[in-house]
Order: sequence, then structure tokens, then C-alpha cells
Amino acid sequence: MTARVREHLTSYAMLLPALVLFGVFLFAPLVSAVVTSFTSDSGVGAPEWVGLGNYRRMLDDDAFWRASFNTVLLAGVSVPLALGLGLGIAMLLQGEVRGRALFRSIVLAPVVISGVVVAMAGRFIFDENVGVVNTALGWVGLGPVSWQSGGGPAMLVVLLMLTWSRVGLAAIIYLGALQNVDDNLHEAAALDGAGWWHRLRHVTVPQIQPTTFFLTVILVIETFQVFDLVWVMTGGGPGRATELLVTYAYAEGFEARQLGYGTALGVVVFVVILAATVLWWRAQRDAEESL
Amino acid sequence: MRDGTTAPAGRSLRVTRRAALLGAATACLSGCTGFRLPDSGADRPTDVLQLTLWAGPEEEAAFRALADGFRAETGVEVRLQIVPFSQTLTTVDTGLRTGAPPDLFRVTYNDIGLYRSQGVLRALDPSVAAELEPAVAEQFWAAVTDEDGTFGVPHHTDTSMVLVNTAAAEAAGVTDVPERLDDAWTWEEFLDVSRRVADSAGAGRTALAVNWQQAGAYRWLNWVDQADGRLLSEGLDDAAPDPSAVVAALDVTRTFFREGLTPSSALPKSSQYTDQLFGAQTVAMAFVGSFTLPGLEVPFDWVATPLPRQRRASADLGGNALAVVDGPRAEAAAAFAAYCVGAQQQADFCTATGVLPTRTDVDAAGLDFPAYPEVMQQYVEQVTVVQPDLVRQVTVPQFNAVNSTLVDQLELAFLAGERPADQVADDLLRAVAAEVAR
Amino acid sequence: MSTTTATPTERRERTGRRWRFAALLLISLVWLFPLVWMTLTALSPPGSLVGGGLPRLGDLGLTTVREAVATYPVTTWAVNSLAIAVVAVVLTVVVDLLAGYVLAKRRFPGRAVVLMAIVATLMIPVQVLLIPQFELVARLGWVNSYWAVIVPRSAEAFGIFLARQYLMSIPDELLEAARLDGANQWQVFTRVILPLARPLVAVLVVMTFMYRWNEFAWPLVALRDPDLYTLPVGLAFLQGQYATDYPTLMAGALLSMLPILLLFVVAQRFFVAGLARSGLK
Repeated sequence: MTARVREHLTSYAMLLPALVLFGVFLFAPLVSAVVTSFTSDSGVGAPEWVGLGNYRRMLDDDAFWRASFNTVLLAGVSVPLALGLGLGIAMLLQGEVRGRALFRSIVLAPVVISGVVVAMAGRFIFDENVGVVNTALGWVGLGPVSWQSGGGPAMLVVLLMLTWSRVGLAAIIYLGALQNVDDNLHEAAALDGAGWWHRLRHVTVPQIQPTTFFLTVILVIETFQVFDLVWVMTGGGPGRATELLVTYAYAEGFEARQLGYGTALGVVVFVVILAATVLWWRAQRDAEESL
Repeated sequence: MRDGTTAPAGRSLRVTRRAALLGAATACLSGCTGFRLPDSGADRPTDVLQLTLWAGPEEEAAFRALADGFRAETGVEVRLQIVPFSQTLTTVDTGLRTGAPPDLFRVTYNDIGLYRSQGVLRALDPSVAAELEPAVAEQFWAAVTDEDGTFGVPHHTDTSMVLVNTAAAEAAGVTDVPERLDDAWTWEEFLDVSRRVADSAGAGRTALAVNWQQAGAYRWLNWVDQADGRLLSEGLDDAAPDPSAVVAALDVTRTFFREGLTPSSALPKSSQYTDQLFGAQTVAMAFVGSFTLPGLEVPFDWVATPLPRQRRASADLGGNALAVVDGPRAEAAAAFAAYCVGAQQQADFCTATGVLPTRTDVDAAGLDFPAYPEVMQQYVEQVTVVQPDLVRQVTVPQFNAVNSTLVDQLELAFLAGERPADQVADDLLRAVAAEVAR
Repeated sequence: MSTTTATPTERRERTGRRWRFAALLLISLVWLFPLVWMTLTALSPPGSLVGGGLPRLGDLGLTTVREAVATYPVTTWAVNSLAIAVVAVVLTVVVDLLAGYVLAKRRFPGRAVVLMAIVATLMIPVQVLLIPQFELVARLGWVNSYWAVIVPRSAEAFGIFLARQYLMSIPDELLEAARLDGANQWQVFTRVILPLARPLVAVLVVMTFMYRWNEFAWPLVALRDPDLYTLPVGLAFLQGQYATDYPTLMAGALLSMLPILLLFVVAQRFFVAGLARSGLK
């Protein structure tokens, strides 16, 4: 056995626990889920093979298209929002400021709270009949906002609670990236008379590009997986205004007892997000190479 | 090794510490039962029955009393596996899929159809069924029976009535709230009362809230049935050919939203229940199931009035069955199920938990309900108009999917106040037809 | 007076600092509000907010929390949660560190495929795997034991990805120097990588603990015996079939939240340091 082969074997030996766990507990179930998506499984009894039937059904399922639209919309708005706010907070936290450690913890604290709890808090605070937000709006003479019965406001609450629960992560990761930005570049730009905004755009943002890429991937994937928040807080309503692909998949699979269809929806989410990530990765790599 | 002399000592120290940690960990591992792997099959003696159910504190005590009574009579032990309501069916399903199902489970009448159709339940022995059938009211018997037999027993029932805040009604000049079924308000009378109540209610308050949220969406079918129409065809394999009753039901229920008679958030997808809105005095009238009464504590006077009626009176089928799984202990399980619907047992269970009997020979008037006994007697009367026709529609095997469709379609119907009712009815019936055809 | 002697730049910096402080204070207040509000609600007597009123300061007390603790075996559930989380953290962190190290620092055939396959699992909606994973665990005979909760979810792609990102920032020269000193792969891992990876370990511990602690759907399916339930699963009983009492719900939420917040406060310095470094290339 050559030294190189032995090295490779050591590498695989160290990877072995991960390989076994992923193979047995993720890939094998994934294969069996894909099989289920080709059946009329109801959760009980013997399922029937329906081929592509479940996938064909999606094509003219309005609720599916609405859920897709909502999911993409939520990702399109919430990810840039989280990145922007995260970067903003990171810049505020950078350098000397009183109470820095405390502020940092406060912003990061919601990250560790479960989605169910975040959803319950959101439901309670924004209750359109008895919630504190509408009570407070009433004090300043603003009419009650229909947080539950209005599609727009309901989606806004989802967006706000989602942002609350994850901006901290973006802020802290950005904070680390900012510490590595070359101060000399900033000073040089400042000497050249570049203003604050100019320096942000042309010095800071390009320097933290890899971090932004990393965060974007993570946050987009996370947005496609948002479940507890919507399930507990809005149930996808009003109408289909806050229905997301994953909540719809669960509702079909476990509430309507059409596990085959629900699983097919989940498989579509997986394939789409995987394809999007690969494309995004490629584009990013090409952009870097062309620099 | 650069530091050959001290390393061994350091390492041995580290090793002992690690060993101690390991020892502690092993001690815990063997101590905590959760880390012991259950011996397959041997976790439960073959003669012990397992009942999977959800249960609040009172219900748990009542089911324990049933288990104890059965054991005293037959010597067979029944173990209760209590899980959260939302998880009961997942627990049953995963058990069935992996060959380790419970012997019995508590199930709503809407959910039992699927299990019936998939051949996983054991039908009651014909002789047992023949003995039980005459004692059980027709509509509840129909809920667990198809041409292949009777699957499980109709353990208890409940239904909805309208609770009315007395002061709010009086402020609107409504003083004669009917108490008896025969005097129930017609839809027009009910709308009229609602409008008056809404007009005289203060800011942020309105007239009514209907309990059609989530799994309760099927309660909207009361309106269809009151208009003497159907959602499903006679053969239960298609949507009803005549949409007129669905249109009528949509008309009246959409009026609630259009005229602001109900809070705009009281939609089918809402997670807020009507008793909360009633308790908060957001609404003066709430459609509420009898099972909520034991926990209902409100700081004002109220009365109950029957569900509104139109061409006939109709009420929703609430309550649960006990289903018997087809397995090695099915016979003993069926015996336990039959025991649970014995007249005395049912009377005790209903009294303890505030639900209603399914047997005609249980004298509900004699039951000593602890919470609001007079109101419970009104519910007893309301239950008599749970119509067998409607029961058959809400217990089809595809009903989970139908109910999901109702949630979705009704939500859209209530939000799109301007769309003509016949178009909305068309969409709804088409969506329902697609589900029952699957 | 220092202000009079300060240069314009210094003065500008000081004003800037003041503005930043004000902005951070405002953000923190907004950020804290939901937590404060939940706590106030949980400390209100059960049923007291039915009318939609605001919590009254005079009413605050531990009645609701105490009632929840008295009605349900909250302590048992908390111990179960802790046992599961601790064992899961040990297992997951070891797997993450090993795999992260190999994927960050070793060159071997199949590396790209392994990395991509692992990252791809991040994108599987977990709801889809609920039933197949249960069937698998049942075949292994693990149902109703902690192992059913722990082992399947120890395949945690985000942790491996994070570990890889972090460990890539360790200079190769350090590893080569150790190799030249005669250390083998395992020794490089234990003597060079691990000591440098403390902040990473803190991040992985907190993250894994948080995932395991907050996990709801899977333990609910995998555990059968209420005595084995974890805290979030057990607290689902508080929600009941019909009733929703906000103080009771919030008391449950508070109970399930406290341990993880506590851990976060203890580990937060390392956690922040570790996270800050893993976003780099």
C-alpha cells in the first residue's frame, strides 16, 4: 500500500461516521420518499403506483402555484432584508461602542428560539382583535390593521417575525467579515475624498462578497424550509396569502391524507432549491474568475 | 515528540479523566430508561391491550375508569397511550406501517372512513353488532358502518349550539332568545338578530363567530343541510348535481363577512376558536361545541339557542369513535370497545367529560353534568337533528381531503365577497368532486 | 475639558459613536420587545387575558408557570431533553469536526462529490423524510428510545459545512509543520486542529444543542411513551384540542426557552467568535 493510498484511506476513515449517518438516515429515506411520490399513498393501507400522476396534478393546482409564488416572494424580500439589516447592525457594532457585547447578545438571542415559539409570539402580539400592536396603534389614532384577515398584512407579519428570528446570525457573521476588511483601503479611499456611501459600495461590499454569498445560500435554503412559523401563526391564510410550499406539502400529506402528493411537493421543493443553488454557485464562480 | 519525558504523565492524566467521563456517561446511559433499546415485541405482554388516544385531564380519568372496569370484569389489562391531539393519527399510521399498531384508537367520525376503506380495522362480530345496533341512534351507527360491517363503536358525540351574550342581545332589543329546538331562529330571523346586535355593539365588537376553523370546516355543511341540499352525490362518489343548497349556504355565510357581522379574521384557516372571541366579548354570539362548556368561564350572563334552521334543522356530527385495529388482539379489543359503549359506562363517561351519549337508552335527561347542566340538556335536544344523510357525507374515506378542500375554498369564498355565489359554488363543488374521485 | 482639546476627527468619531449607540439601543428595544411581552404574558394569571386586556403589573406572578409545572411532569421532560441534547451534541460535534477537517484540509478522490452530497441534504424538506425515517428507525428497533431521536438527526449538514468553512481558515503551514514533526493524520487532527477549533466547537455545541432542544416533529413521532417526551413535545399538551390560553402557552414557551437562552449566555463569547470566522472563505 503506497503512502498516498494510506492517506486517502485515513481521509475516508475520518469521513466514515458522516458517510454512514448521511447514507443510512438521509439518502435511503430520500430514495424511499421519491418512490412514495410516485404513489397514491394515503398514510394508511397499501399504496397504488400512479407514475407521474402526482407531478402532473401540480401543473393545474392553483394552490401549488400560489404557494410557489409566495415562497419565492418571501425569499426575494426576506433574504435581501436580512442581509441589509445584518450588515447595518454589524457596522453599528463594529469598533468601540458602549454596551457592545450586550447589544450583540440581544440581537442574536432570537436565533436560538424555536420556530414554534416565535410563531406563538407573533400570533399573540399581532392579534388583530386583542393584540398589543393594534392596541398601541389605537392609542396613536391609527385604525386597526387586519393582521389575520388581510393577505398583505399577514405576509408582513411572517416577514417581520422571520427577520426578527434570523438577522442576528447575519449580523454576527458580517461582523467577523468586517474585521477582516483592509483598513488601508478605507483610509486610501477616504483620502481620495470618497464619501461614506461610496466607501461602503466600492470598498466594503466587494471585500465581504464571499460572506454575502455564503449567507445568501444559507438564508435562501432556510426560507424554503420555513414551516413552524407559518403553520402555527397563519395556517397559510388568509386565503392562500401566506401558504408556502413546505406548509402546503405538509397539509396535503398529513391533513388531507394524501401522502403521495404531499411527498411529491416536497421532492419538487428539493429539486428546485438544489438546482437554484447549483446555478447560483456557478454564476458566483464565473463572476470571480472574470475579475 | 518534543517533550518526551512529561508527555506520558500528561497523557495518562488525560486518559483517566476521559475514563471517568466515560464511566459517568455509561452510568447515565444504563440509568436513563430512554437509552435502553426496547426489546422488539416484548415491551408489552401479548394479553395487554393498548389504546392510543388524546385526552385532557377529565377525559384521561374517564378512560382510566373504563380500563379499570374492564379489567375488573375480564381480567384483561388496557394500557392508555396518551399523545397530543394533533399527533394521534400520525402515531396510529406509523404504528400500522411498521407492524406495531395500537389495538384500539380514539378517532373522530370524519377520520375513521379512511381506516375503514383501507382494511386495517376489524369489523365488529355480527352477533355483537346485532345486539348493539338497536341501542344506538341511527345517525351514529351510520358513522361507523358501511356495507362491509361496523368498524369500531360510536363512543360519544357532541354538537354545536349558539351561545348568546344576554346583555349584548338585550342592548339590541333581542329579548326572546329561543331555547327549544322547535322555536329555533330561521336564517332570516338569525340574520336580522345579527344585524341588530352588530349595530348596537361597541367599537371593535360584532355579532357572531362560527366554529368552522380548520378540522371544523365540515360544520359549514350544517347550512347546506339546513337548506335541504347536499355536498356529495347520493352515491358519495361525486359532488352533488344540484348546487342550489350550496349557493344558499354560501349566500348566508358570506353575508356574515360582507356585512361585518363576524370578525373578518374568523376565517376557516384561523387558529383562533370561537369561544375565545365570545369570552373576549368580541362577538355577542358564538357557535360552540358542548365539549367547550366544562372549560368555559366568562364574566357575563349568557344563554344557548339552537342552530338556525331553514328548510329543516340540522347539526354537526361531533364526538369520537373507538376503532378496533385488525390484529392479534382484535377480539379482546373489540370486547373492550363494546364494554365502553355499555349503557352505564357511556352515561358515566358523558357525565364526567361533558359529552353526549350515542345510545338511545341512556337517559340524557338523567345525566348529572357538572358544568351548565341545563345548557347540556339543550345540547341533548340539538343532537337529535344530526341528520343521517349528512353523517354519511362527512364519513366518506376521502373526507380528510374534502375537509381540506372546504377550508381552502370557503376561505377564498369569504374573502372574495364580490364574486357571484353560483361561481363560487361551482369552484367549490368542482374541487370537492376532484377529491372524492381520487 | 477633553472636548475642547479634541481634534475635529476625534470629535466626529465621538458623535458617530453616540449616534451608533442610540441606533443600537433602539434596535435592541425593538428586538427585546417580543421576549419581554411573552414573559409578561407568562407571568399573568391563567385566563386573565381572555378579554384582550394588557398584562397588569399588579397581577404578575408565577401562578401560571407553577400550574404548568404542577399539572405536567415538566421536570422529567426537561431531563429527557437534556439527556438527548447532550448525547446528540457529543455525537454530532465529533462527526462534524472529523468530516469538516477532512473536507477542508485533505485532498482525496471523491471529495467534491461527498461535499456536494452533504450540502445537498440541507435542501431536503424534513417533513418529506418523517415517514421513511420512522420506518427505518422502526426496522432498527429503536422506536421509543432516545437513540431514535438522536442518531438520525446527527447527520447535520450545516454543522459540517460550518466546520469546513472555519477550518479552511487555519493556515496549511501549521499542518505541514506538524507533519514534518512526524505527526500522523489523527495526531494532526487532535493536536493542531482541535486546539485551534475551540470557538468552532462552541458554535457547533450551541447550534446542535439548539436544534435538538427545539426539535418538535421528529421526537413526537419517534417517541411513544409520554415519560420519554422532550420538553417541547410535552408542552404540546398545553395546547390542548380546543382551548388556547395565552398565559399558559407562553408559560410553556418560556419554560422551553430558558435553558437554551442560558446556554447561549454562557457560551456566547465563543459562539460569536466562532460564527464570525466561519463566514469567511
